[in-house]
Parts: sequence; C-alpha cells; structure tokens
Amino acid sequence: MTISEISRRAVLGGLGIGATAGLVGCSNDNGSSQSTPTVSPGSSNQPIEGAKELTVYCWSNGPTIDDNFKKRVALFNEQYKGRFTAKMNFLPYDQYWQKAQLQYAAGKPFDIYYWDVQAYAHYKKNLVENVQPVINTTALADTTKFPSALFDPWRFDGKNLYAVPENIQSMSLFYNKDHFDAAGLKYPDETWSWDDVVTAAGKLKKTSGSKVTQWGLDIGTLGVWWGLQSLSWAAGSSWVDKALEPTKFQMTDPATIEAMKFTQDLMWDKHIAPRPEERNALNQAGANFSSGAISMMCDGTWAISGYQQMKAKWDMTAIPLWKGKRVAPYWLGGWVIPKKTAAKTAAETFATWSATTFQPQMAKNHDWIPISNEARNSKDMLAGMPAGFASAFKDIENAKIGDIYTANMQEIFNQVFGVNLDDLYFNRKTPEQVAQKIQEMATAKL
Amino acid sequence: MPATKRTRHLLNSTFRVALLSVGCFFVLLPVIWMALTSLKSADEVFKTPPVWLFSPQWGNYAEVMRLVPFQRFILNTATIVGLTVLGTLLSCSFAAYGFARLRAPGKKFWFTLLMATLMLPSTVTLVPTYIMFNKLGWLNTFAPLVVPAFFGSAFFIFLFRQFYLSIPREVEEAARIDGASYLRIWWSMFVPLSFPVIATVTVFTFVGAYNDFFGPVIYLTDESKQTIAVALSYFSGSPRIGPQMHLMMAATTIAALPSIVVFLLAQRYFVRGIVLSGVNK
Amino acid sequence: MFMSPAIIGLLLFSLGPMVASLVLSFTQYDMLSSPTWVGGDNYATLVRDPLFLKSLRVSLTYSVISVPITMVVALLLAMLLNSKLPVMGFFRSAYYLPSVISGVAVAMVWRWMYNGEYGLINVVLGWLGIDGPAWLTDERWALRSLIFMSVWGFGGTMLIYLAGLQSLPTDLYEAARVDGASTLRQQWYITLPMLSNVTFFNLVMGIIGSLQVFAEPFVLTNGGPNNSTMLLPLYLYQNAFTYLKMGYAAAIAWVAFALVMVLTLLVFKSTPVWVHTEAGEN
Repeated sequence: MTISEISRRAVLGGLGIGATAGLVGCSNDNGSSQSTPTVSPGSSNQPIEGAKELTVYCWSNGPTIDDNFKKRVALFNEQYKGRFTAKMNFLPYDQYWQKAQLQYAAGKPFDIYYWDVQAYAHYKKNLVENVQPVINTTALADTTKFPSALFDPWRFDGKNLYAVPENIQSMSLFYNKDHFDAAGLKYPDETWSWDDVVTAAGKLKKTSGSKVTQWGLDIGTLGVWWGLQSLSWAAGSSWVDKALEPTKFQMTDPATIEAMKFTQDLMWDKHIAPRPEERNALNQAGANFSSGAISMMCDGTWAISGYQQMKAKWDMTAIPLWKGKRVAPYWLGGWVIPKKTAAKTAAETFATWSATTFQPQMAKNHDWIPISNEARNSKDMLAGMPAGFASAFKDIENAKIGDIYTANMQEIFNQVFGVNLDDLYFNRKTPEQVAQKIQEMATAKL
Repeated sequence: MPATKRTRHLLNSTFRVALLSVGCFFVLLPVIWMALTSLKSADEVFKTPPVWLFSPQWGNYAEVMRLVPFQRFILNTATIVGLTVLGTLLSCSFAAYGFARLRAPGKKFWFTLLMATLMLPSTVTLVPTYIMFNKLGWLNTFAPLVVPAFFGSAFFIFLFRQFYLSIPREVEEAARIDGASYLRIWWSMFVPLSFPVIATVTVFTFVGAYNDFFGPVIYLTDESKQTIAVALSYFSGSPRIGPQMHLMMAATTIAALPSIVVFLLAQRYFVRGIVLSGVNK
Repeated sequence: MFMSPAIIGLLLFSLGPMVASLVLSFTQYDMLSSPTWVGGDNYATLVRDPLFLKSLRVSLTYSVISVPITMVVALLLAMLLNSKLPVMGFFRSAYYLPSVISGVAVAMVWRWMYNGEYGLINVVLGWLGIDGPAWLTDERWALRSLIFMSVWGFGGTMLIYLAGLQSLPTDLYEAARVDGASTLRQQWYITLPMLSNVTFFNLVMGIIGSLQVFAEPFVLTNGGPNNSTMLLPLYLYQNAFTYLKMGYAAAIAWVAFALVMVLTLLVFKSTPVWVHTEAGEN
C-alpha cells in the first residue's frame, strides 16, 4: 500500500469507517439477549409517512461485518413488528456511490443510506432531509448523553443536522507490547510526546546485517493528510480556515511546514520509520503492524478489528503530544435520508433507533463504536476492547473533524493532497515546496 | 523418406510440448499463487518472504461456503448467463450473415454505427441508460442484463462477420441455384461451418456474463436476485478494511470452476469444427 | 432482414444514451440537478487540462505497446497449440485459464505479486540475481507493469486466433507439403494471409479494448504514482462519479471516441492492402 493509496483510502473512507470496526470474533451473540426498550423512537402512535417497507443501503465491509449488520436490521424488524420492515442492501464501496448517484439522477433516491463525505454534495443540492426536528424528539438531542458539540460539523446550515450520527471513530497510537517487553521499555501512555516516541523507536529498531527486521515506528496514518493535520492542530494551526466551506488554505503556516518536516525526517533523516519504498515492500493490507514488523504506529480506530487477530500482545493509547498538546481527528458514522425518500417515517425511525435504543447492543456487539457516551464507556464495550481504548477516547471532546466539506473536495484530495504528499515522502521535496504547491493548487480549486 | 519424416515430426512435437510447458508455468504462476493462497491461514497470507510450504487450510473453503450461500445464487446466475449466451449466439450469427453477405442499402452506415457503440466509454452512457431502464420499469429485474443480448452485440457480430467473410462464395451459390432461401443457407450452411467461432463466442459470452459483477450490482437490488460474481465482490472488503485475502482467493477459485467446465466442453467443438469443414469441402 | 435485430437493438439501447451523452458534453451536469447548457466550455477546458493531456498520452502509450505485443504472443501460442497432439487439450485450457478468472481477484493477486521487496516477481528475479524495481510505486515502472499484466490477458485473442486456425482449409497445406515447403514457410505464406481476417478483427478490437481499460489501473494504482498510470477511462470515471462532473466526463469520452474512431477507420482503410477475404469485399 503506497502513501498515495492510504490518502486515497482516507478520501474514500471519509467518515464511513464506523461500519468497519467489527470485532469479528465476538459478534455472534446479539439479538436474543436484547430486552425490549420501554420507549422506542417512532413507536408512538404518530402517523406513518411513506412506505412501511424500508431498504437500508450501506457499502459492503466483507461478509463477516455485513452479517452483523443484517442482525441489527433483524432486531429492528423484531422490535417494530407490524409497523416497519427493513431490508439491508450492500454494494461494494465504489458502486455504492455510483448507484446512489444514479438513483438521484433517475429521481428515485435510496430510502436511507450510510454517510460518507460524498453525501455532502447531495446536501449542497438540497436533496437531503433536515433531520433536526426528528432528532429533537429523541434522546439524541440530550447534550449530557451524547457528545453534541462533535455533531457541529454536520450542521451544514449552522443550525440543523442533516445526517443522524450513530457511531464515532478517531485516531490513536497502537503499540506491540511484546516488543516493549523485550526491549525492557515502559509502555507508551497518554503522557507521551512525539519526542518520547522517537526515543523509544530508536531503541526498538532492530537490524540484521543491512536489513531492518523490526521497525520502531511506522508513519501510519500520520502520513495521511488528516493525520498530518492533527500535528498542525496541536501547534495551533490548521490546513484550512474552517472545515465547513473553507475560504482559504493556510498550508504555508510555519506550524504546518514544521509538521511536514517532522514526518519526513522520521523516514529519511532519522530513518526510524521505514521509507516509502521500504514501507511499500512491508505493507500489504496493513499487515505490517499485525505481523510484528512494527513496534508503534498511528492508525484509525477502525483498525482495531484487524489487530484483534494478531498473535502478539498489543495495546493502544491516545496519540502522542505535539508541542505539549493533542488534538485528534474524529469522524462520525450515520444515516442520510433523502428528501424524496419513499419511506420517510421508517427511515427516520431506523436512524434514530440505531443512535439511541440500539446503542447498548452496539457496545455488546463490539462492531462499531457507539456515539452514546454511556454505551461507549460501558463495561460491555470496554470488556472486549484493548486496555488503552478508554484513554484513546478520553479527549474525544477536544477532537476535530477529520474532513473538509466543500464542493471540489474529492478533487483536492486526489489531485492535490495525494500527489504532493507523495512528493514529500517519496521524492523528498522540501516541506516548503510541498506546502507552497498544495497551497496554490488547492486554493485554485476552492 | 517416411522414417526421417516421422523423426522430424516427433522432434517437432517434442519441441512444441517443451516450449508450451515452460510457458505454461509462467502464465499460470498468478493462478497457482491464487490457489496456494486460498489454502493458507490468514496469518500465513502476508508472511514475508512468501511461504511455500504450509499445512493446507481446507477449512477456508468451508468458511466461504458458509459465508456465501452459492446455491442461492446459482439459479439467478444460470438464468442470466444462459439467456445471454443463447441470445448472443442467435442474434449475432444471424445479423453477421446479413453484414457479411447480403446487399442492403445503408449496410456500411449501419455497420459503422454498430462499431461506434463499442468505442464510447460506457461510463458516460450509464446515466441515460439507467434512467431509460428505470422508465421501462426494468430495474431490479433481469431484463437490463438479458434483453439487450437478444438484439446482438457489436463485438460478436463483428467476430462472426469476419469468419463468414472467409467462407468461399461458391458454397452458397450452389445452394442458391438449388433454390434455398437465405434463411436456410444461414441455418444449414453458415451455422454448421462456423462451429469453432460458435464455441469461441459461447466461451466469451459465458465468461463475460458469468464474471460481470457491475451489471447485476447496479441494476438488481434484492439480494435474492444477485449473482455469484456479486457475492464474490463482497470479499474485497471496503477502502478502510482490506480484503480477507485467503477467503477471497478461495471464493474466486470455487467461482472459476463453471467457466473452466464450459471451456473444456467448448473445446471439443473446436475439433468437431475442423471435421465438419473437412466434410463439407 | 438479417441485420434488423442488430439495428433495432442499436436504436433501442445504444443510440439514445449515446446521443444523450453527446448533448451532456455541452452541459454542466452533476446528476443531482438538471444539466445547464455551457456550450463548448467543457471542450475548451479540456485542451488546457494538463491531467487530461497526460492521461491521453498515457493511454496512447499503453495501446501502442500493449496491443501489438498481445497479438504476437497470442498468435504464436495459437500456432503452437494448433496441433492434434492429445496433450494440446490440456495446454489450451491452461493457457486460457487466466482469462476465465474474475477480474478483481486477478488484479489483487497481481498487485501483490508486484510488491517491491516481497512480491513473487521480485522473489523470482532475486533467485536469478536481479534486483527488481518497486513495480507499481515506481513512476518509471508502473505503466510498464500494467502493460505486462495486460499482455498476460492474451487468452481471448489467442482463442480467436485458434478458432481461425481451426477453420483453415487443410488442402492448402497438403499442396504446399507436396511442393516441399518447410513448416515455417507454410506458416508465413499460407497461415498468416489466411488469418488476416482474424488479425484484422483482433487489431480493431485490441485498439478499442485497450482504450477502455479501467479495472486494472483502478485496482492496482488508481492512476498513481504521480498520475503515471492515469489511463483515460480512469480519469473519465473519476470526473464522472468522484468529482460529479458528468458533463466534463462526457466531453472527455467523446474526444476519446473520436480518437478511437479515427484509428479504427485508418485500420479499415488499410485493409485492401493486407486483409485477404474469400468474398473479395470488406
């Protein structure tokens, strides 16, 4: 996997990673144990608008995780027996967006579909329902139970939510405990700064002849634009003036250039992290950390499921401090309902039910990370997670959205960020040059 | 000198077989690698350097069969593929006879137009096509996948036409004198003469329709109507979650079997084709 | 009468969408709202779009190299396989096998085999003492890697050649053998001219097909590194469905269309020189 590919993944994955954090092994016990809630959204006597049959669209994450999703829908059908019948429909990621687009073009949009940045274009064309009124009738509006401030990036008009959030993801530092034990080093924790990481990585790197057999650090998602931006954030800067409809890029800020230099140096100057070519060679489907070739690595929390199958002992913690501060990126997963949905009430009910009543079960399933504070911090959730999971999510209230919402964003991701970050890491262009080039190219596309 | 001739023939054959065997290994390497991967454990898949010896995990295949109820998709797949092959064979060999032999006004124009349909990237005709199928009420039915085949496809019309062009004119002129209609000539002379092409087109349409995942995934909605190729695509994972390689490879290996069988069956007709053309001459 | 199903099908399913896309190429269209007429703007943008010009260059390079090589490999193999030896059934199947396996999985296997240090290809090269490049992530090698992989997909072309060889009348060869012509001479003076119809088909289809290659660059490189594998269909797809610029994509498609059309017409025009038909018409 190349860096440009990771950035592509970031582009494609956007927010939608919620669906992917399946803890594959522990997800077969849901359904029967669920007690019927006393108050369910949409279960009151309100009239049903639109069809009772609902088709829920999501992209496929592989058969195992898709299977969990079908169980959720079965549970919904059970709880709303006689009122609604939902059906799941999976498509591969690219065809999912293509079909969403085609259905809009044909004037027959999906009933309800899973959010990713692409859906922002649908909002811009006034095709997406304002779900705020519905949310206001549910517990999701309760600011003590849900991290409501984190929903702000989804208030596209400044006031109202245009998608129903139901799960959350962030970025954290993953480390191989066996490597630390063998080197006699203390495990990383949330007090660690990037300096500590660099020092430890130097000690963890092992070579045999000219070949490196164990890397102390991998650049991981720190090399993706949003990972890199988290360093800018910690230093008090940002790549754009605001994430929602930015008016300018500020790439040439010294804080951002310094962050670029730091990450480039990890590979080239210090060489404690594999250089791009070495990394490509090691990297196959993110198996480098899993296979024990890497001691530490930043990655999205959606990677937890993959690491659960590792042989070595591992744990996670909050991303390291940079300039004494830490601002992690986060992403929301949730549901978009088109204005022209054929099953309005059913769609609203499914979305809000997923975000409220279903949350404890989501925690038990360990397949997604619940948006509800209580469910996310519940014993059920933490029991199946690595010990550092709680620490990784402790500062989530201070996190910033790992996306940028503007019309040409997909183009900026692909044609500006991807190519230029490759220049930074592969071709060793200076951070100043790269920042300048991104600044010019991206601004031209705003 | 029959003895030297035989030796030369033998040498020739030996050389041929030796050359083909070596080439075969290299051509099949990716396929062999795929098959090996399908028998590895998730752990061994990404081992570096690659693992060559391991205890085969036949359980991967059981796991795939559990995750993908192939039997549920077989009927859909067979219906779509069967109709596509039938439609293509009939309509294309029929139309190609016209394009190859008959004099009709505007023949050249229509042929050019037909070829032109192949040249425009389908990405940009997808939206109008989709809207059209929606208006026809064909979405979530097999119609968009099957009906067009009965009206011919430019690729195969062209292929048949090229073969018909190389059939000697005398063959049909004699029949014309005997008073046979064009329909009869097509059916009783051109079709039997073109058995190798028919076998080729059968293999192509079969493999094409069988492996087509884009058509079904876009035009069909209900899972109960999906095909094997679509089921396979779910093993690719998503952008964030990579594929489960070993399972994906096992599923792909299973799914390739019908195509291989069809090819082996069609192969016999290659041989039969020669015999027939020999008899007819 | 014979041509009617094809012509009806053409009018029903193909012509409408084609005309629609031509009209769309003069509009701004995001598929979410109605298209707005912009006249020739898309075409004007196109000539100044460096990425489009690059992808045009990449696509042409790809076709010019991949098509002839694939055809030669396919023809040679078809000739080798065209024998009545009993093992040939096995070899035919073996050589065609790669072409029956579903595309995405094959592309993934290749991506993996191309891995710079641990991929199968470099492991094999390593045995021979050659230090292979980082195929797909090296700007100089990425396009060549895709071309190499495309040649591996020779199965279809080979099968068509094989069908052509099987249809050749055997009496010509017997006459040649009686005259004492060597096998090589027979192939050169009888097989090649007799196959020219098939070669013509393979060439035209090769050109058309190679300018529509999408899945391989999409799965293997997504156009990178530094857009060195940004084939036209991929750039077109990105514009259409990732950037929601369907009007612009349509303009790209029609330029690509014109290009293929011109190339194909050139090939058609050249046929009297080299294509041999019994019927004496083409």
